[in-house]
Amino acid sequence: MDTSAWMDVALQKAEESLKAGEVPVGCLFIYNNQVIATGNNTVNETCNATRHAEINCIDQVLKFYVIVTVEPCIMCMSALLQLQIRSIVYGCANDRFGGCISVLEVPKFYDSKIMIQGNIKGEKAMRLLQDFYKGVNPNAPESKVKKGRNTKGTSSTHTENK
Amino acid sequence: MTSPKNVKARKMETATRSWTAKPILSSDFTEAPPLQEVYVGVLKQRKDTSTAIKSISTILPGFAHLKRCSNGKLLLAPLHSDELSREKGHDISLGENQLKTQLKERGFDLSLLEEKFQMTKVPAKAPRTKIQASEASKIWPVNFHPDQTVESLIDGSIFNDDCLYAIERIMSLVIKVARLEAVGDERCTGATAIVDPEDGRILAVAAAKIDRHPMWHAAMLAVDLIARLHGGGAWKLNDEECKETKEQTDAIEEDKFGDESTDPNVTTEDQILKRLRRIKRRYEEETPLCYPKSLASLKFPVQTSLETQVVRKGRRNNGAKIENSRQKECEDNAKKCGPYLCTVLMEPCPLCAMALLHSRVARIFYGTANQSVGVLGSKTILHSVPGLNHRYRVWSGILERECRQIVEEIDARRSRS
Repeated sequence: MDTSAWMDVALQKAEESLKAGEVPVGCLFIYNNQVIATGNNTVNETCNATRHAEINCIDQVLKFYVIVTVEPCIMCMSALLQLQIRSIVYGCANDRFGGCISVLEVPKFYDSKIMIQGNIKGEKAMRLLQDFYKGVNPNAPESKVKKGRNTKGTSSTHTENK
Repeated sequence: MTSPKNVKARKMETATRSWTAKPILSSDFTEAPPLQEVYVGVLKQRKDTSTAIKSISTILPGFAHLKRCSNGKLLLAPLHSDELSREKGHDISLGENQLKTQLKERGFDLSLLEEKFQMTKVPAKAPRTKIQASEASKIWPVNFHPDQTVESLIDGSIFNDDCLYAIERIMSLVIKVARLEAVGDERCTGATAIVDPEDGRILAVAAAKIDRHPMWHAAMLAVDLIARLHGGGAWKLNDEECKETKEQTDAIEEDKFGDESTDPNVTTEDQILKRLRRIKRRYEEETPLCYPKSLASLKFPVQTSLETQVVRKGRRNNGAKIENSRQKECEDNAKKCGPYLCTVLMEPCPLCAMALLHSRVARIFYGTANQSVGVLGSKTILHSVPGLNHRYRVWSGILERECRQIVEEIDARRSRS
Protein backbone atom coordinates (compact mmCIF):
# COMPACT_ATOMS: atom_id res chain seq x y z
CA MET A 1 0.00 0.00 0.00
CA ASP A 2 1.27 3.48 -0.70
CA THR A 3 1.04 6.61 1.37
CA SER A 4 -2.17 7.82 -0.14
CA ALA A 5 -3.90 4.48 0.42
CA TRP A 6 -2.76 4.53 4.05
CA MET A 7 -4.08 8.05 4.32
CA ASP A 8 -7.51 6.79 3.28
CA VAL A 9 -7.47 4.41 6.24
CA ALA A 10 -6.42 7.21 8.55
CA LEU A 11 -9.22 9.39 7.19
CA GLN A 12 -11.72 6.65 8.00
CA LYS A 13 -10.48 6.73 11.58
CA ALA A 14 -10.87 10.50 11.56
CA GLU A 15 -14.46 10.12 10.38
CA GLU A 16 -15.14 7.77 13.28
CA SER A 17 -13.95 10.56 15.55
CA LEU A 18 -16.30 13.02 13.90
CA LYS A 19 -19.27 10.67 14.34
CA ALA A 20 -18.38 10.31 18.01
CA GLY A 21 -18.26 14.05 18.45
CA GLU A 22 -14.49 14.18 18.77
CA VAL A 23 -12.01 16.36 16.93
CA PRO A 24 -11.67 14.40 13.67
CA VAL A 25 -8.08 13.21 13.60
CA GLY A 26 -7.05 9.68 12.69
CA CYS A 27 -3.63 8.11 13.03
CA LEU A 28 -1.88 4.92 11.91
CA PHE A 29 1.44 3.42 12.86
CA ILE A 30 2.84 1.38 10.01
CA TYR A 31 5.73 -1.02 10.29
CA ASN A 32 6.89 -3.21 7.40
CA ASN A 33 3.81 -2.29 5.43
CA GLN A 34 1.47 -3.42 8.19
CA VAL A 35 -0.69 -1.43 10.53
CA ILE A 36 0.60 -1.89 14.07
CA ALA A 37 -1.63 0.72 15.71
CA THR A 38 -4.66 2.82 14.85
CA GLY A 39 -6.03 5.68 16.85
CA ASN A 40 -8.33 8.61 16.81
CA ASN A 41 -8.86 11.57 19.01
CA THR A 42 -10.69 10.62 22.25
CA VAL A 43 -10.44 13.82 24.26
CA ASN A 44 -14.16 14.07 25.01
CA GLU A 45 -14.67 10.40 25.67
CA THR A 46 -11.87 10.32 28.22
CA CYS A 47 -12.22 13.89 29.50
CA ASN A 48 -8.48 14.07 28.97
CA ALA A 49 -7.12 16.77 26.72
CA THR A 50 -3.99 14.76 25.94
CA ARG A 51 -5.79 11.87 24.26
CA HIS A 52 -4.83 12.79 20.71
CA ALA A 53 -4.82 10.16 17.97
CA GLU A 54 -1.03 9.78 18.15
CA ILE A 55 -0.96 9.29 21.91
CA ASN A 56 -3.59 6.57 21.58
CA CYS A 57 -1.44 4.82 18.99
CA ILE A 58 1.62 5.07 21.23
CA ASP A 59 -0.28 3.46 24.07
CA GLN A 60 -1.33 0.69 21.72
CA VAL A 61 2.20 -0.13 20.61
CA LEU A 62 3.45 0.01 24.18
CA LYS A 63 0.90 -2.61 25.15
CA PHE A 64 2.94 -5.23 23.41
CA TYR A 65 3.84 -8.58 24.75
CA VAL A 66 7.27 -9.99 24.15
CA ILE A 67 7.63 -13.61 23.14
CA VAL A 68 11.25 -14.70 23.01
CA THR A 69 12.78 -18.15 22.80
CA VAL A 70 15.51 -17.48 25.38
CA GLU A 71 15.35 -15.48 28.60
CA PRO A 72 16.47 -11.91 27.73
CA CYS A 73 19.94 -10.91 28.92
CA ILE A 74 20.52 -8.22 31.52
CA MET A 75 20.95 -5.53 28.86
CA CYS A 76 17.80 -6.42 26.92
CA MET A 77 15.81 -6.83 30.11
CA SER A 78 16.83 -3.35 31.17
CA ALA A 79 15.87 -2.01 27.75
CA LEU A 80 12.48 -3.76 27.79
CA LEU A 81 11.74 -2.49 31.28
CA GLN A 82 12.56 1.07 30.22
CA LEU A 83 10.00 0.70 27.45
CA GLN A 84 7.53 -0.37 30.15
CA ILE A 85 6.34 -3.42 28.33
CA ARG A 86 3.76 -5.51 30.09
CA SER A 87 4.73 -9.08 29.73
CA ILE A 88 7.52 -11.37 28.64
CA VAL A 89 7.14 -15.02 27.78
CA TYR A 90 10.38 -16.88 27.23
CA GLY A 91 11.41 -20.40 26.30
CA CYS A 92 14.56 -21.57 28.03
CA ALA A 93 16.51 -19.89 30.80
CA ASN A 94 19.74 -18.03 30.00
CA ASP A 95 22.31 -19.21 32.52
CA ARG A 96 25.04 -17.02 31.05
CA PHE A 97 23.38 -13.61 30.91
CA GLY A 98 19.73 -14.00 31.99
CA GLY A 99 18.24 -10.74 33.28
CA CYS A 100 14.84 -12.02 34.49
CA ILE A 101 16.07 -14.31 37.18
CA SER A 102 18.99 -16.54 36.11
CA VAL A 103 21.99 -14.25 36.54
CA LEU A 104 20.51 -10.98 37.80
CA GLU A 105 16.95 -10.03 38.68
CA VAL A 106 16.80 -6.75 36.77
CA PRO A 107 13.04 -6.04 37.28
CA LYS A 108 13.65 -5.34 40.97
CA PHE A 109 15.76 -2.28 40.07
CA TYR A 110 12.88 -0.77 38.12
CA ASP A 111 10.06 -1.56 40.60
CA SER A 112 8.16 -2.93 37.67
CA LYS A 113 4.96 -4.95 37.60
CA ILE A 114 5.98 -6.83 34.52
CA MET A 115 4.58 -10.33 34.09
CA ILE A 116 7.22 -12.91 33.28
CA GLN A 117 6.58 -16.47 32.31
CA GLY A 118 9.39 -18.86 31.49
CA ASN A 119 9.92 -22.39 30.26
CA ILE A 120 7.41 -22.30 27.42
CA LYS A 121 8.71 -24.83 24.91
CA GLY A 122 12.11 -24.34 26.53
CA GLU A 123 13.55 -27.65 25.32
CA LYS A 124 13.14 -26.72 21.68
CA ALA A 125 14.83 -23.33 22.21
CA MET A 126 17.63 -25.00 24.11
CA ARG A 127 18.10 -27.57 21.37
CA LEU A 128 18.52 -24.81 18.80
CA LEU A 129 21.21 -23.19 20.90
CA GLN A 130 22.96 -26.47 21.38
CA ASP A 131 22.89 -27.09 17.63
CA PHE A 132 24.40 -23.68 17.07
CA TYR A 133 27.21 -24.09 19.55
CA LYS A 134 27.94 -27.58 18.30
CA GLY A 135 28.40 -26.23 14.80
CA VAL A 136 30.88 -23.65 13.66
CA ASN A 137 30.07 -20.18 14.88
CA PRO A 138 32.20 -18.05 12.54
CA ASN A 139 32.29 -15.17 15.02
CA ALA A 140 33.22 -17.10 18.12
CA PRO A 141 36.69 -16.37 19.45
CA GLU A 142 39.12 -19.26 19.35
CA SER A 143 39.20 -21.26 22.50
CA LYS A 144 41.66 -19.96 25.04
CA VAL A 145 43.72 -23.16 25.19
CA LYS A 146 44.16 -23.32 21.47
CA LYS A 147 44.93 -19.63 21.35
CA GLY A 148 47.78 -19.90 23.82
CA ARG A 149 49.38 -22.78 22.01
CA ASN A 150 49.08 -21.33 18.56
CA THR A 151 49.90 -17.70 19.18
CA LYS A 152 53.41 -18.02 17.88
CA GLY A 153 52.46 -19.96 14.75
CA THR A 154 49.63 -17.67 13.73
CA SER A 155 51.57 -14.49 14.15
CA SER A 156 54.47 -15.75 12.09
CA THR A 157 52.08 -16.49 9.23
CA HIS A 158 50.92 -12.89 9.55
CA THR A 159 54.35 -11.50 9.02
CA GLU A 160 54.78 -13.70 5.98
CA ASN A 161 51.60 -12.34 4.51
CA LYS A 162 52.74 -8.80 4.95
CA MET B 1 54.50 -1.75 55.79
CA THR B 2 54.80 1.54 54.01
CA SER B 3 58.16 3.03 53.41
CA PRO B 4 58.58 6.76 54.11
CA LYS B 5 58.98 7.36 50.41
CA ASN B 6 55.56 5.89 49.69
CA VAL B 7 53.93 8.02 52.32
CA LYS B 8 55.50 11.09 50.78
CA ALA B 9 54.31 10.12 47.33
CA ARG B 10 50.81 9.58 48.59
CA LYS B 11 50.76 12.91 50.37
CA MET B 12 51.73 14.66 47.18
CA GLU B 13 48.98 12.87 45.37
CA THR B 14 46.25 14.08 47.70
CA ALA B 15 47.67 17.55 47.58
CA THR B 16 47.43 17.84 43.81
CA ARG B 17 44.30 15.87 43.00
CA SER B 18 40.81 16.39 44.38
CA TRP B 19 39.70 12.83 43.71
CA THR B 20 40.80 9.24 44.09
CA ALA B 21 40.02 6.35 41.78
CA LYS B 22 38.15 3.88 43.95
CA PRO B 23 38.25 0.33 42.66
CA ILE B 24 34.84 -1.37 42.68
CA LEU B 25 35.64 -4.87 43.83
CA SER B 26 33.41 -7.78 44.65
CA SER B 27 32.57 -8.37 48.29
CA ASP B 28 34.99 -11.31 48.21
CA PHE B 29 37.76 -8.71 48.31
CA THR B 30 36.23 -6.08 50.54
CA GLU B 31 34.29 -7.84 53.27
CA ALA B 32 35.75 -9.44 56.34
CA PRO B 33 36.13 -13.14 55.56
CA PRO B 34 33.38 -15.33 57.05
CA LEU B 35 34.15 -17.63 59.95
CA GLN B 36 33.31 -21.25 60.53
CA GLU B 37 33.15 -23.32 63.70
CA VAL B 38 35.73 -26.03 64.07
CA TYR B 39 36.99 -28.59 66.54
CA VAL B 40 40.54 -28.15 67.74
CA GLY B 41 42.56 -30.60 69.72
CA VAL B 42 45.06 -29.38 72.29
CA LEU B 43 48.41 -31.10 72.00
CA LYS B 44 49.71 -32.53 75.23
CA GLN B 45 53.30 -31.98 74.14
CA ARG B 46 54.59 -29.40 71.69
CA LYS B 47 57.24 -31.78 70.40
CA ASP B 48 54.49 -33.89 68.77
CA THR B 49 53.37 -31.00 66.60
CA SER B 50 54.84 -32.15 63.29
CA THR B 51 53.71 -35.78 63.77
CA ALA B 52 50.20 -34.62 64.59
CA ILE B 53 50.06 -32.29 61.56
CA LYS B 54 51.29 -35.00 59.21
CA SER B 55 48.82 -37.50 60.54
CA ILE B 56 45.76 -35.24 60.55
CA SER B 57 46.44 -33.84 57.06
CA THR B 58 46.35 -37.32 55.54
CA ILE B 59 43.35 -38.48 57.55
CA LEU B 60 41.23 -35.35 57.30
CA PRO B 61 42.66 -33.13 54.57
CA GLY B 62 41.41 -29.57 54.28
CA PHE B 63 42.01 -26.13 55.75
CA ALA B 64 44.52 -25.43 52.99
CA HIS B 65 44.27 -21.70 53.68
CA LEU B 66 45.12 -22.08 57.35
CA LYS B 67 48.09 -23.27 59.34
CA ARG B 68 46.97 -26.65 60.57
CA CYS B 69 48.44 -26.10 64.00
CA SER B 70 48.79 -22.93 66.02
CA ASN B 71 49.98 -22.42 69.52
CA GLY B 72 49.71 -26.10 70.37
CA LYS B 73 46.19 -26.32 68.96
CA LEU B 74 45.49 -28.66 66.07
CA LEU B 75 42.66 -28.00 63.61
CA LEU B 76 40.63 -31.20 63.40
CA ALA B 77 37.38 -30.76 61.47
CA PRO B 78 34.60 -28.28 60.85
CA LEU B 79 31.51 -28.60 63.02
CA HIS B 80 29.28 -28.36 59.99
CA SER B 81 30.75 -30.36 57.21
CA ASP B 82 29.38 -29.79 53.73
CA GLU B 83 29.86 -33.44 52.92
CA LEU B 84 27.88 -34.64 55.89
CA SER B 85 25.06 -32.18 55.22
CA ARG B 86 24.87 -33.17 51.58
CA GLU B 87 24.62 -36.86 52.45
CA LYS B 88 21.86 -36.37 54.96
CA GLY B 89 20.19 -33.63 52.92
CA HIS B 90 20.17 -31.06 55.72
CA ASP B 91 22.55 -29.23 57.98
CA ILE B 92 23.97 -31.57 60.57
CA SER B 93 26.69 -30.83 63.03
CA LEU B 94 29.42 -33.27 63.77
CA GLY B 95 29.41 -34.54 67.37
CA GLU B 96 32.62 -34.62 69.35
CA ASN B 97 32.37 -38.35 70.01
CA GLN B 98 31.57 -39.01 66.37
CA LEU B 99 34.72 -37.14 65.39
CA LYS B 100 36.79 -39.10 67.91
CA THR B 101 35.51 -42.39 66.50
CA GLN B 102 36.30 -41.22 62.97
CA LEU B 103 39.82 -40.21 63.91
CA LYS B 104 40.45 -43.45 65.76
CA GLU B 105 39.10 -45.56 62.89
CA ARG B 106 41.39 -43.86 60.44
CA GLY B 107 44.40 -44.35 62.64
CA PHE B 108 44.95 -41.01 64.35
CA ASP B 109 46.71 -41.33 67.67
CA LEU B 110 44.24 -39.64 70.02
CA SER B 111 46.65 -39.90 72.90
CA LEU B 112 48.58 -36.97 71.40
CA LEU B 113 45.67 -34.68 72.32
CA GLU B 114 44.03 -33.65 75.52
CA GLU B 115 40.86 -35.57 76.28
CA LYS B 116 38.48 -32.67 75.66
CA PHE B 117 38.31 -31.06 72.20
CA GLN B 118 37.72 -27.33 72.01
CA MET B 119 35.41 -25.48 69.69
CA THR B 120 36.56 -22.28 68.06
CA LYS B 121 35.92 -20.11 65.02
CA VAL B 122 38.41 -19.82 62.18
CA PRO B 123 38.30 -18.07 58.77
CA ALA B 124 36.14 -20.21 56.48
CA LYS B 125 37.67 -19.04 53.21
CA ALA B 126 41.10 -18.11 51.98
CA PRO B 127 41.78 -14.36 52.30
CA ARG B 128 42.06 -12.58 48.95
CA THR B 129 43.84 -9.42 50.06
CA LYS B 130 46.57 -8.37 52.47
CA ILE B 131 44.00 -6.56 54.58
CA GLN B 132 41.80 -9.62 54.81
CA ALA B 133 44.82 -11.78 55.54
CA SER B 134 45.91 -9.58 58.41
CA GLU B 135 42.35 -9.55 59.81
CA ALA B 136 42.09 -13.31 59.41
CA SER B 137 45.43 -14.00 61.03
CA LYS B 138 44.28 -12.20 64.17
CA ILE B 139 41.86 -15.11 64.50
CA TRP B 140 44.02 -17.96 63.23
CA PRO B 141 47.31 -17.96 61.28
CA VAL B 142 46.70 -18.19 57.54
CA ASN B 143 48.63 -19.28 54.48
CA PHE B 144 48.53 -16.31 52.15
CA HIS B 145 50.31 -15.21 49.01
CA PRO B 146 49.28 -11.72 47.93
CA ASP B 147 48.12 -11.30 44.35
CA GLN B 148 50.13 -8.35 42.99
CA THR B 149 47.38 -7.25 40.66
CA VAL B 150 44.77 -7.21 43.38
CA GLU B 151 47.05 -5.38 45.79
CA SER B 152 47.91 -2.75 43.20
CA LEU B 153 44.19 -2.19 42.64
CA ILE B 154 43.57 -1.73 46.34
CA ASP B 155 46.50 0.56 47.12
CA GLY B 156 46.05 2.46 43.86
CA SER B 157 49.61 1.82 42.69
CA ILE B 158 48.28 0.32 39.45
CA PHE B 159 48.07 3.88 38.12
CA ASN B 160 51.01 6.22 38.07
CA ASP B 161 50.54 9.99 38.10
CA ASP B 162 50.65 10.31 34.31
CA CYS B 163 47.95 7.73 34.01
CA LEU B 164 45.74 9.44 36.57
CA TYR B 165 46.14 12.79 34.84
CA ALA B 166 45.24 11.20 31.54
CA ILE B 167 42.09 9.71 33.07
CA GLU B 168 41.27 13.09 34.58
CA ARG B 169 41.65 14.82 31.22
CA ILE B 170 39.31 12.32 29.58
CA MET B 171 36.76 12.71 32.34
CA SER B 172 36.97 16.50 31.97
CA LEU B 173 36.07 16.01 28.33
CA VAL B 174 33.18 13.73 29.28
CA ILE B 175 31.94 16.43 31.66
CA LYS B 176 32.08 19.04 28.90
CA VAL B 177 30.23 16.71 26.55
CA ALA B 178 27.54 16.03 29.14
CA ARG B 179 27.12 19.74 29.88
CA LEU B 180 26.73 20.52 26.19
CA GLU B 181 24.49 17.75 24.97
CA ALA B 182 23.33 15.13 27.46
CA VAL B 183 19.64 14.37 27.63
CA GLY B 184 18.94 11.48 29.98
CA ASP B 185 16.49 10.67 32.71
CA GLU B 186 16.80 10.16 36.45
CA ARG B 187 17.94 6.56 35.89
CA CYS B 188 20.74 7.11 33.42
CA THR B 189 22.27 10.21 31.98
CA GLY B 190 25.56 11.74 30.96
CA ALA B 191 28.26 11.08 28.44
CA THR B 192 30.80 8.42 27.51
CA ALA B 193 34.24 8.34 25.95
CA ILE B 194 35.89 5.18 24.66
CA VAL B 195 39.67 5.21 24.60
CA ASP B 196 42.34 2.91 23.24
CA PRO B 197 44.66 2.51 26.22
CA GLU B 198 47.70 1.74 24.07
CA ASP B 199 48.13 5.26 22.75
CA GLY B 200 45.36 7.02 24.64
CA ARG B 201 43.52 7.80 21.42
CA ILE B 202 39.92 8.83 22.03
CA LEU B 203 37.92 6.67 19.63
CA ALA B 204 34.36 7.68 20.36
CA VAL B 205 32.50 10.27 22.37
CA ALA B 206 28.75 10.31 22.89
CA ALA B 207 26.16 12.14 24.98
CA ALA B 208 22.90 10.53 26.08
CA LYS B 209 20.02 11.43 23.75
CA ILE B 210 17.01 9.59 25.02
CA ASP B 211 14.83 12.38 23.65
CA ARG B 212 15.67 11.02 20.20
CA HIS B 213 15.53 7.30 20.88
CA PRO B 214 14.77 5.44 24.13
CA MET B 215 17.88 3.27 23.77
CA TRP B 216 20.24 6.16 23.09
CA HIS B 217 22.01 6.13 26.41
CA ALA B 218 25.54 7.48 26.18
CA ALA B 219 27.27 4.09 26.44
CA MET B 220 24.90 2.49 23.91
CA LEU B 221 25.72 5.25 21.42
CA ALA B 222 29.44 4.99 22.05
CA VAL B 223 29.36 1.25 21.42
CA ASP B 224 27.60 1.82 18.10
CA LEU B 225 30.14 4.47 17.13
CA ILE B 226 32.92 1.93 17.71
CA ALA B 227 30.98 -0.56 15.61
CA ARG B 228 30.90 2.06 12.87
CA LEU B 229 34.65 2.47 13.19
CA HIS B 230 34.92 -1.27 12.66
CA GLY B 231 32.85 -1.10 9.51
CA GLY B 232 29.44 -1.75 11.02
CA GLY B 233 27.01 0.22 13.18
CA ALA B 234 23.27 -0.24 13.61
CA TRP B 235 21.91 3.25 14.09
CA LYS B 236 21.83 6.01 11.55
CA LEU B 237 23.66 8.53 13.64
CA ASN B 238 24.52 12.01 12.46
CA ASP B 239 22.04 11.97 9.62
CA GLU B 240 22.28 15.74 9.38
CA GLU B 241 25.66 15.05 7.75
CA CYS B 242 23.86 12.94 5.23
CA LYS B 243 26.30 13.29 2.39
CA GLU B 244 29.41 12.45 4.30
CA THR B 245 27.80 9.51 6.04
CA LYS B 246 26.47 8.27 2.74
CA GLU B 247 29.91 8.33 1.22
CA GLN B 248 31.32 6.51 4.21
CA THR B 249 28.59 3.93 4.18
CA ASP B 250 29.11 3.34 0.51
CA ALA B 251 32.76 2.73 1.10
CA ILE B 252 31.89 0.32 3.87
CA GLU B 253 29.39 -1.51 1.69
CA GLU B 254 32.01 -1.87 -0.97
CA ASP B 255 34.47 -3.25 1.52
CA LYS B 256 31.93 -5.61 2.90
CA PHE B 257 31.02 -6.81 -0.54
CA GLY B 258 34.64 -7.47 -1.28
CA ASP B 259 34.95 -9.54 1.85
CA GLU B 260 31.83 -11.51 1.32
CA SER B 261 32.28 -12.33 -2.34
CA THR B 262 34.03 -15.45 -1.14
CA ASP B 263 32.47 -17.77 1.41
CA PRO B 264 31.23 -15.45 4.15
CA ASN B 265 31.86 -18.04 6.83
CA VAL B 266 35.54 -18.26 6.11
CA THR B 267 37.78 -15.34 6.90
CA THR B 268 41.21 -15.86 5.52
CA GLU B 269 44.27 -14.39 7.12
CA ASP B 270 44.48 -11.99 4.23
CA GLN B 271 40.97 -10.71 4.78
CA ILE B 272 41.59 -10.27 8.46
CA LEU B 273 44.73 -8.32 7.74
CA LYS B 274 42.93 -6.16 5.21
CA ARG B 275 40.22 -5.48 7.72
CA LEU B 276 42.71 -4.63 10.45
CA ARG B 277 44.51 -2.21 8.14
CA ARG B 278 41.22 -0.59 7.26
CA ILE B 279 40.31 -0.22 10.91
CA LYS B 280 43.74 1.21 11.65
CA ARG B 281 43.35 3.76 8.87
CA ARG B 282 39.98 4.71 10.28
CA TYR B 283 41.53 5.12 13.73
CA GLU B 284 43.97 7.60 12.32
CA GLU B 285 41.68 9.48 9.99
CA GLU B 286 38.25 9.44 11.54
CA THR B 287 38.57 9.33 15.30
CA PRO B 288 37.15 10.60 17.51
CA LEU B 289 33.72 9.68 16.24
CA CYS B 290 31.20 11.90 17.95
CA TYR B 291 27.51 11.83 18.59
CA PRO B 292 26.00 14.31 18.35
CA LYS B 293 28.31 15.69 15.66
CA SER B 294 28.56 19.09 17.33
CA LEU B 295 30.93 17.56 19.87
CA ALA B 296 33.65 17.38 17.25
CA SER B 297 34.24 21.10 17.83
CA LEU B 298 35.34 20.47 21.41
CA LYS B 299 38.97 20.68 22.33
CA PHE B 300 40.19 17.14 22.84
CA PRO B 301 42.91 16.35 25.36
CA VAL B 302 46.37 15.28 24.27
CA GLN B 303 46.96 11.58 23.92
CA THR B 304 48.77 9.75 26.68
CA SER B 305 49.15 6.03 26.87
CA LEU B 306 47.03 4.53 29.60
CA GLU B 307 48.69 1.16 29.71
CA THR B 308 49.32 -0.04 33.20
CA GLN B 309 51.46 -2.96 34.01
CA VAL B 310 51.75 -4.81 37.22
CA VAL B 311 55.33 -5.63 37.99
CA ARG B 312 55.68 -9.36 37.95
CA LYS B 313 58.64 -11.27 39.21
CA GLY B 314 60.58 -13.07 36.50
CA ARG B 315 59.57 -10.68 33.71
CA ARG B 316 57.05 -13.02 32.20
CA ASN B 317 55.71 -10.30 29.94
CA ASN B 318 58.07 -9.49 27.16
CA GLY B 319 57.10 -6.98 24.56
CA ALA B 320 56.83 -9.34 21.61
CA LYS B 321 54.38 -11.55 23.37
CA ILE B 322 52.13 -8.63 24.17
CA GLU B 323 52.26 -7.52 20.57
CA ASN B 324 51.17 -10.95 19.38
CA SER B 325 48.36 -11.29 21.85
CA ARG B 326 47.19 -7.80 21.01
CA GLN B 327 46.94 -8.62 17.36
CA LYS B 328 45.09 -11.81 18.17
CA GLU B 329 42.73 -9.93 20.43
CA CYS B 330 42.24 -7.38 17.74
CA GLU B 331 40.99 -10.04 15.39
CA ASP B 332 38.77 -11.61 18.00
CA ASN B 333 37.35 -8.30 19.00
CA ALA B 334 36.77 -6.75 15.61
CA LYS B 335 33.07 -6.63 16.45
CA LYS B 336 33.54 -5.54 20.01
CA CYS B 337 35.13 -2.80 22.01
CA GLY B 338 38.27 -4.83 22.36
CA PRO B 339 40.65 -3.91 25.12
CA TYR B 340 39.33 -0.37 25.33
CA LEU B 341 38.68 1.83 28.29
CA CYS B 342 35.37 3.47 28.85
CA THR B 343 34.90 6.66 30.82
CA VAL B 344 31.36 7.52 31.86
CA LEU B 345 29.95 10.45 33.81
CA MET B 346 27.62 8.41 35.96
CA GLU B 347 27.58 4.80 37.12
CA PRO B 348 25.97 2.83 34.28
CA CYS B 349 22.42 1.46 34.43
CA PRO B 350 21.91 -2.27 33.68
CA LEU B 351 21.38 -1.51 29.99
CA CYS B 352 24.67 0.36 29.62
CA ALA B 353 26.67 -1.85 31.97
CA MET B 354 25.63 -5.01 30.19
CA ALA B 355 26.14 -3.41 26.77
CA LEU B 356 29.72 -2.64 27.81
CA LEU B 357 30.11 -6.18 29.10
CA HIS B 358 28.86 -7.69 25.83
CA SER B 359 31.31 -5.36 24.07
CA ARG B 360 34.16 -6.61 26.26
CA VAL B 361 35.53 -3.27 27.37
CA ALA B 362 38.50 -3.80 29.67
CA ARG B 363 38.06 -0.96 32.13
CA ILE B 364 35.32 1.41 33.17
CA PHE B 365 35.87 4.70 34.98
CA TYR B 366 32.88 6.58 36.27
CA GLY B 367 32.45 9.80 38.16
CA THR B 368 29.45 9.62 40.38
CA ALA B 369 27.20 6.88 41.73
CA ASN B 370 23.78 6.13 40.25
CA GLN B 371 21.68 5.45 43.33
CA SER B 372 18.54 4.50 41.43
CA VAL B 373 19.66 1.76 39.04
CA GLY B 374 23.48 1.75 39.01
CA VAL B 375 24.81 -1.80 38.81
CA LEU B 376 28.55 -1.18 39.16
CA GLY B 377 28.54 -0.59 42.88
CA SER B 378 25.21 0.93 43.96
CA LYS B 379 22.52 -1.70 43.44
CA THR B 380 24.82 -4.59 42.72
CA ILE B 381 28.30 -5.28 41.39
CA LEU B 382 27.60 -6.67 37.95
CA HIS B 383 31.20 -7.58 37.23
CA SER B 384 31.30 -9.86 40.25
CA VAL B 385 28.08 -11.71 39.46
CA PRO B 386 29.08 -15.33 38.93
CA GLY B 387 28.49 -16.90 35.54
CA LEU B 388 29.07 -13.87 33.31
CA ASN B 389 31.64 -14.48 30.60
CA HIS B 390 33.62 -11.26 30.81
CA ARG B 391 34.83 -9.17 33.71
CA TYR B 392 35.89 -5.61 33.32
CA ARG B 393 37.58 -3.69 36.06
CA VAL B 394 35.76 -0.69 37.42
CA TRP B 395 36.75 2.47 39.25
CA SER B 396 34.50 5.18 40.62
CA GLY B 397 35.15 8.65 41.93
CA ILE B 398 36.93 10.17 38.91
CA LEU B 399 36.36 13.94 39.34
CA GLU B 400 33.45 12.89 41.53
CA ARG B 401 32.41 16.34 42.74
CA GLU B 402 32.41 17.83 39.27
CA CYS B 403 30.49 14.87 37.89
CA ARG B 404 27.83 15.03 40.58
CA GLN B 405 27.44 18.73 39.95
CA ILE B 406 26.90 18.21 36.24
CA VAL B 407 24.36 15.42 36.84
CA GLU B 408 22.39 17.88 38.98
CA GLU B 409 22.72 20.47 36.26
CA ILE B 410 21.34 18.08 33.63
CA ASP B 411 18.48 17.13 35.96
CA ALA B 412 17.60 20.77 36.48
CA ARG B 413 17.69 21.36 32.73
CA ARG B 414 15.27 18.47 32.21
CA SER B 415 12.76 19.68 34.80
CA ARG B 416 12.88 23.18 33.29
CA SER B 417 12.03 21.96 29.81
